Amino acid sequence: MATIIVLDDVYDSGVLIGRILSRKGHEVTPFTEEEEALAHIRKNTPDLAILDIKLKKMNGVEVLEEIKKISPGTKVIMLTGYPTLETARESIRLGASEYCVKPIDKAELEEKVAAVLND
Amino acid sequence: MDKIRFSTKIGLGTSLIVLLAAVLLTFTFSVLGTRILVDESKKHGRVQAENLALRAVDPILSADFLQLKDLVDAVRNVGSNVVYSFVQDEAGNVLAHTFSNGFPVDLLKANILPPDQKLSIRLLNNGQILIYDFAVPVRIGQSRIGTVRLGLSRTDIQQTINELLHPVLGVSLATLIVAVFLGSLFASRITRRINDLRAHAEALVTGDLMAQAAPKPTANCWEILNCKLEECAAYGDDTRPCWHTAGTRSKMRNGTTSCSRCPVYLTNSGDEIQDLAETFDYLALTLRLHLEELYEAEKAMARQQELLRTVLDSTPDHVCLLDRQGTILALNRAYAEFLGLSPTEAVGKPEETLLPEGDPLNDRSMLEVMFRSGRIVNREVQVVRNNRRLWLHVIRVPVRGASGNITSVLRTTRDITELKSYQVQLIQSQKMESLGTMAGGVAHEINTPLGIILGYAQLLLEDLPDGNPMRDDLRIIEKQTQVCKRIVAGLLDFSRQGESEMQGMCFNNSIMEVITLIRHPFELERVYIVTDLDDRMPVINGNPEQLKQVWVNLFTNARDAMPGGGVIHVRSRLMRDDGIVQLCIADTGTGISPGDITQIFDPFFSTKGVDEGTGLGLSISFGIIESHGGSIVVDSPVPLEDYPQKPADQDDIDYGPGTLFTVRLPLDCSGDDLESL
Repeated sequence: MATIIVLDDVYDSGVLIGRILSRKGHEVTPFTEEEEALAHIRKNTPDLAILDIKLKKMNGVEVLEEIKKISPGTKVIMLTGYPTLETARESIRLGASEYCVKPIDKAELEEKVAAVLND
Repeated sequence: MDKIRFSTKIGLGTSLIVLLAAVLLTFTFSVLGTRILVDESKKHGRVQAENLALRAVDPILSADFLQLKDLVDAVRNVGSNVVYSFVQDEAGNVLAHTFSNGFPVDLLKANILPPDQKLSIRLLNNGQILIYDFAVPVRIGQSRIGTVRLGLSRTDIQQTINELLHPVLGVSLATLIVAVFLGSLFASRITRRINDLRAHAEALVTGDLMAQAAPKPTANCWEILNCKLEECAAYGDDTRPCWHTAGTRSKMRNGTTSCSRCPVYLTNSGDEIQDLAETFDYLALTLRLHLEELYEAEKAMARQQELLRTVLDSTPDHVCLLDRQGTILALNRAYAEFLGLSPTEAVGKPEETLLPEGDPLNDRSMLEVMFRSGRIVNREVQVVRNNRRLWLHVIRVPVRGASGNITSVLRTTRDITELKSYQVQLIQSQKMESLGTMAGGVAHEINTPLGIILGYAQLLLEDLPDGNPMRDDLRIIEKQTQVCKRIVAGLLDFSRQGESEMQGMCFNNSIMEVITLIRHPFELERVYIVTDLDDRMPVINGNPEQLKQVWVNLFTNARDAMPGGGVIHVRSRLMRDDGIVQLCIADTGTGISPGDITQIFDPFFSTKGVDEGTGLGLSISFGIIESHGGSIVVDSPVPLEDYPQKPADQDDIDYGPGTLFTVRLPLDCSGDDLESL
């Protein structure tokens, strides 16, 4: 069981990921605002953060960079509907554990989360 | 008169003048001489008559008739021209006379002297000679005692005059002969010089412009003026006088501005004929210079014409000049070859007889419009030549003559089929670029809700127990969402081609890997792949996976177009000069209709069934090739030279018009691959 936060500008998307991963016994908190998510991480240092790249104010890569500063132990999975080589490369360089493309299949998500947490 | 020679005219004129002068002189001399001699004779006769009258007084008074007879005889003998003399008394009786054969009585009445008159002269004709008869009174004081009559021969006087006229006539004749001789001499000299001038003029007419008519100057100007002006045009030229040489620099002496007072002119100038000859020489010189300029201009024009001809003949464009009736006035080699004639054969022929009927170039009405309006007409037309559809850019320009009227129309025709195809490609590229951008945006926006639908469907599937009928509905939702997911992923692939990883790769290997993979399954469907790969293939800079995706797409499309089997001909060529490598994939399938061929690269355009494809394969391939800096074009039906060779053992296959995809990719020039291969 792990603590996971999901940051996605679309609330339903975060809730869905929360529903899928909660069934696997994880504690999932969805966010739509970057500041709230970062404040939560700062306070609770979750095991995993699932970040959308397209956010409201910042982009996912910047949030990733910030997370790695404030909580280096928190693992990060990047999730995007518009994958590009640059963002993928940059995410891996900044310490993201996985780079997934929306729409992600339920089984694939469970599999990748499990793999990252067990790593 | 005009036909008489000039020398004859001068001789005749001179002779006539002299003859006229002689006649006038003789006539005048004769008249004046006669008058003078007659007057003198009259005076002489009167004096003799009066003298006789004085001497006859005494004999009359004394009636001494013998003395009277002596007196009249003496008078008769003294004057050789005295024909007769006689004395009458107061009553008119003849007292003494000189007639030996009897006195002619009629003579008394021929000249009756009135009483108060001192002299009476009458001209008498005795039938032989003319006689001046003088009648003088014999007086004593105021009394008249008789009359003296004296006859002088007028004929003798005339003889004297005639004797005087003979030398005059002789002198006149001699003068006439001398005048004719000198006149002929002068005339012959004049005519000789005129003949020289005429011969010179004839030489000019026949083109001998070097002939010299005037004599050379007797002294050269630079010697007379003692000048050293070597830059002067006249300096050193001893063939013509300096006043006919343009550009003489010698200043006039004595401050005169006219040549007429120049010592050179005074020394060398001649008469009017020499002036005329010099003018002829000057005319010849001027003509020679003008002709030389003309020849030079002619040569330059010939060079220009040759250059123009070369330019026109070297261009692949079809150029021709047409008159109002559409007759070919001139044409270049390219057009003549197109018409299948030599340029000389084509000139003069009506163009409509050489072009196929209905050809857009075969347009007489357009010619008429141009001749009327005088406007330049610029059109792009489509024609069919040798079973090929061509785009031609036709420019018609009116050509005006010297009067400003339109005399002909110059038509230039350029084959712009290739340019048109590039334009179509460019438009296609732009269309695909904007479609790509749009597709990327749409995919991104759809991905999130699609993910949510898929996720919740899967959650619900997990929640529902087996056997629940709703599970089937949810599975359909999941399945169709997965289809949507694939479409969106394809759209993303199409839109993000430029972001892929590029590396040096072997072009042939990339193709062969795909062919190796598909050859067997294709052959099961009776689709045979024939390869003709250029073994000099260099390494290109590309994304191997993406390019393989393109080849797979193209091969799959080819196979799908040949449901009953067929041949795929794969040919690669290194075009080192163009810096590209070219791959041609030709099939023997059903081909693409002209209406579809412009849309096949559009996303979601597909002629296949609903479940057989997404319509993104060629769009993605197009995007990949574009992102590699290359191009992909399609031709259908396949041109004859590219049509795959049919296998001998597969006679039952139904071969179609086929489709040819041509991919061109730039070579990787960054390394030494080009040279090593």
